[in-house]
Amino acid sequence: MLQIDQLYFSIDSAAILQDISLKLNAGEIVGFVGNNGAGKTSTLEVLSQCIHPTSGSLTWEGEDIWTSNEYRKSMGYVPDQLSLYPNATVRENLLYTAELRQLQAPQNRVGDLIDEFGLSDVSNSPIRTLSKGWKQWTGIAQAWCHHPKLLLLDEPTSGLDPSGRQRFDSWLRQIRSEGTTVFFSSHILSEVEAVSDRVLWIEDGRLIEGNDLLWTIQCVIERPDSSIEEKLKRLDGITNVRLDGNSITFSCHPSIRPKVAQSLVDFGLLEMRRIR
Amino acid sequence: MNRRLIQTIAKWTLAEFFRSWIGWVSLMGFTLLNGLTLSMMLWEAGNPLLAGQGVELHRVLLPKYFSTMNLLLLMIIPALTMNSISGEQVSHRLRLYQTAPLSSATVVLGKALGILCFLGFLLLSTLPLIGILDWHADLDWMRWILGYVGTGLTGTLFITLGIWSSAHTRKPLTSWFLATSTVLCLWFVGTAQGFPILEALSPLPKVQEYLDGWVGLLDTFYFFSLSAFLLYHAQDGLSAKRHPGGRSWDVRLTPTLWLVVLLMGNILVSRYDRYWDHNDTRPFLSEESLYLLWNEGNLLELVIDLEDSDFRYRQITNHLRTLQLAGLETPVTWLSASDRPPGKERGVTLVLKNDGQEERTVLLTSLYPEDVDAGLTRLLNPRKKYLCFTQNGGEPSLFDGTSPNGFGLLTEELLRLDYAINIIDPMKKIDQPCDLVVIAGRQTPINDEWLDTHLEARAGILLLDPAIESISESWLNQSGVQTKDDFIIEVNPNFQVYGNPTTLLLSQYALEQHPTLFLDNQSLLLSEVRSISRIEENTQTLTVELLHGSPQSWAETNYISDAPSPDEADIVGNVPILVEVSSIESGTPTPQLMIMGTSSLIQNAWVEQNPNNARFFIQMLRTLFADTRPTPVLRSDATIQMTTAEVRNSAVLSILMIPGLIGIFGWWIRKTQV
Repeated sequence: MLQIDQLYFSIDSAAILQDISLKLNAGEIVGFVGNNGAGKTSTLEVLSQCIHPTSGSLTWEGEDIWTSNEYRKSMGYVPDQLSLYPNATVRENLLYTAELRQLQAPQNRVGDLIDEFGLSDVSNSPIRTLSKGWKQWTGIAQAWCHHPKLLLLDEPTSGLDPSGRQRFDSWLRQIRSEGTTVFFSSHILSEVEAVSDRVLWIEDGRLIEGNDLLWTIQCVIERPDSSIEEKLKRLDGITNVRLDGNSITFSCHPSIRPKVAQSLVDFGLLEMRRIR
Repeated sequence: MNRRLIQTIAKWTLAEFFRSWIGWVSLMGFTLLNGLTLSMMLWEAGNPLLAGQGVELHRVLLPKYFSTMNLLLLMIIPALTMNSISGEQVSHRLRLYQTAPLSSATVVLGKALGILCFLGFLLLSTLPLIGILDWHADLDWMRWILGYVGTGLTGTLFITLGIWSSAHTRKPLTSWFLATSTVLCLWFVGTAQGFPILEALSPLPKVQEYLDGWVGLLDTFYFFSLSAFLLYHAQDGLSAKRHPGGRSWDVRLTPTLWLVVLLMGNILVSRYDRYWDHNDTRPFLSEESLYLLWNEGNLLELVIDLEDSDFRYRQITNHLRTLQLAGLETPVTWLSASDRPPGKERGVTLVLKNDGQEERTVLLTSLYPEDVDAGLTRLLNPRKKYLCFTQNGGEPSLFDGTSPNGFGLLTEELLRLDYAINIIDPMKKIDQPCDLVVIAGRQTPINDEWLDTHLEARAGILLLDPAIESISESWLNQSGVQTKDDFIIEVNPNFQVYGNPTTLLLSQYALEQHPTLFLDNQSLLLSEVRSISRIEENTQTLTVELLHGSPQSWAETNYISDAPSPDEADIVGNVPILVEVSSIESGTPTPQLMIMGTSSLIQNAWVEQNPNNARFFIQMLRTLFADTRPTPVLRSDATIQMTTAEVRNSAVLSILMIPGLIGIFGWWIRKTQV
C-alpha cells in the first residue's frame, strides 16, 4: 500500500530524517517507537504530507503521493497537537472536517462519529471547555471521519486515561479487522507492543532494523549473586553483562526485556531502566 | 479549485469571527468610530445655523466620511487577517487543510472570501448612518454607492495584502506588523506629489477617484490585478510552508514573473483607459480658470486636438459644460483627422490661444482642471507673482501642512495657482524677487523703517495679526489705522463654533464687507480677532474698512453656559476687522497695505475646515495687486441642513444606539450559543 524509499529530510543542512525506507501493508498495525527528538513526528508529518521531504520516494498503491490526490482522500492523520477550533463545538468541528473532505450527507456521518466515539454528551460543547481526553477523542474522530484506508496517529493516547487507552486499543483492533492500516507513534514501548503487529524503531532520524536494536539496561537487584551473570548470558540476545555490587548492566533488544525481568525476579529485582 | 470547498472555508472563516468577541467588537467599534466621525462633521463643521448655509454633501461630507472609513479599514483589516494563515499554523490547525484533498489556492480563496464577507458586514453596519443623512438631505445615491464600491475595493486589497502577509510569516504578530506597515506605505506614497510611479502604486488616488464619482478602468484593473497577484502569492506562501527545508530557485522566482505580468497589464490597460463619470457637481474648471476665462474669455480660443471617436471626447464635452454654466462664450475648436494640418500627428492636445500666443498642454488621460489652470496662467500671466512671507519671527511655518497652526495648506494652494513663494528674514535686506510682503504673527520683529522701505519698493504689504509690540502705534496711526484687542458684540450662541467658543464664524448673514472681496456666498472661520479700525482724522492715506464683524458674529464667552461681562475696554457693535490703506500721492488711490486682525484665517485648522478662508486670502492678494475678479460659478451641490437638536439626535443614534444594538445583539447571540 504505502511504500517509502530512501526518505531524507533536512532543514538548513541539519539532517532530521535519513534513509528511511519502509512498507505499510493493508490491514496491519505498525507501531513506531523512538525517543523524544528521534524523528517520529517528522516522519508522520512527511507521511501526512504536511511537510515535503528533501528527497526520497513515497508511493501509495504505486502512485507518487505528491502527484495523486487519492492518497489524501485515503489517509487520516491525528497530529500530536490537534487541529481543532477551540470556539467551535465538537459537532461543528467534525462537520467542518466532513465538509472539507466533501463527504456525502456530512450531517449523518458526524452523527455516526459522535455515537461511535461516545461524544454525544459533549457534542454541543465548545472544544475549549473540554478535557484533554475528550479533545483527543474528537481529534481521532476527525481523522476517522472519511473512513481512511491509512490512519496515521502521533502519540494518540497521550491524553487518555487507562480505560480510554483500553477502548482505543480495542477500536484499533476493530478497524484493523476492517482492513485499515494503522501507523502510530509512541515513546512508550509496552503500549505499542500491546496492539501492534510489528514495531519500528527510530533513532537520530534513522530507522533501525528490529533485530539490530540494542538497549543498554541497568537493573538494581536486592540479592546479587555470581550466578546472575551466567543466567543472563544463557538468554538469547543478551550481551555485555557486567555485575557491579547491586547493579547489573547488559545490552539487549528491547523486546526481550520482559523475559529478562522474569529471570531477575528470583534475585530480588528492584529497578530496571534504560541507560543508553 | 473547488467552488463548494471555497464556500465551505469562507463560511467557516466568517463564522469564526462571530464565535469569539473579535467579530462583534470589530463591528461595534467600526460603527461607533464611523458614527463618531459623521457626528463630528455634522456637529463642528456642518451645523447650518453656524454658517447660515448647509454643508455640501458630495463635495465636502462624502470624501471626508469615506476617507475616515478607509483609514479605519487600514487599521482594522491587518488585525482581522493576521490569523488567517500564520494563526492557523501557530495553533496547529493548518494540518487540517494540508492533509485534506484541497489545494492551497482553495484555502487562500476561501479565507479571503470569508474575510471579504466580514468586510461586507462592516460596511453594511454603516448604512444606517447614510440613512440618517438621507432623512435630512437629498442624496445622490449613486455617488454614495460609488463611495462604498471604492471603499470595498480598497478593503479587498487590504484583505488580500493581509492574507499575503499571513501566508509569508510564521507568527500572527509578525503578520500584523508586516501587513500594517505595507498598507501604510502603499497608502501614504499616494500623497507624494510629483512622483507618478509612487502615485500609480498607491490605492489612495484610485479610491479618491471613486469618491469623486469617477470610475476608471485602470483604477478598477489596479485593484483587481493587485489583489489577484497577492492572493496568488499568498497561496504560494502557503505551499511553501510544506517546504521548511526550502524550495528550488525556479519555484521561488515564479511570483516575480507574475509581478512583471501584473505591471505590464497595468501599463497596457493605461493605454486604453476608460472612465465613467458620475459627478455633475465637480468643479471641472477651477475657480481660477473661470476667473481668467471670465475676464479674458473673448480673447481666448480653446483648440482641442482630439478625434470624436476618442473616449475622452465625451468627457471633455461634458466638462466644457462648466463654461456654458459660467455664461462664457469661449470659442472651442475641435481638430479631427480631416481638418488637422497635413503631416501633423494627432496630439491629443489642448491649445489655448490668446492674442497670437498659444499654450499647449498634452492630455494624457483626460482634461484636468490643473492642465487648464496652468496653461491659462502661463498664457495670461507669463510672469509669476512673488509673495514674500516673513518667517523665523514666531510666524507659523509655511511648509507645515500637518499641525493646526501651520500654513502648509495655504502654501499648496498658492503654488497650485502659480504664485512664487520666497521666505524673507525681516531683519535682513531682501535680495529675492518680491512683489508683495506677507507678515503674519504678532512677534515678527519689524520696525517702522523696514515697513516704510517696503511700502515704497513693493506692490504692497499684507499685514495679519498686527502687534503694537513690534509695530509702533504711531506708524499704524500714521497709516490711518488703530488696533484694539478686545471687543464683544451682541450675544448669539448660534454663531459660535461648537467646542471652540473663542472662534468667530462669519457668513453672508453675519458680516458687512467691501464689495471687492466677494463673500456673498461664503463664510469665514476666524479666531482671536482684534479690531482694526480707520482713523477718520488721518488725511495722509485713504483708509477703508473692508470687513466688519456684525452684531451677531462675535462671542468671547461660551454663551451657552456663561453670561458675557463686557468691560469698559470692550467694543460693542459692528467691529471692523480688515482695512485697506491706499496711497493718494499721485492723485489716484493705489492699495498698498491691508491689515487684518488675525492670521488664523490661513492656518491649516481653518483652511481645512473651510476652503473659503484660503480663497479670501487670495482675494486680499488680488486686491493689493489690483487684480479683482468676479465670483466663481460652480454647480450647486446638495446640502444638508440640520437644527442643533437634529444634530444631537443623529449623534445619539449613530454613536450610542446603532453600536449599542450591535453589541446587545452580539451578547445575546453568544449567550444563546453558550
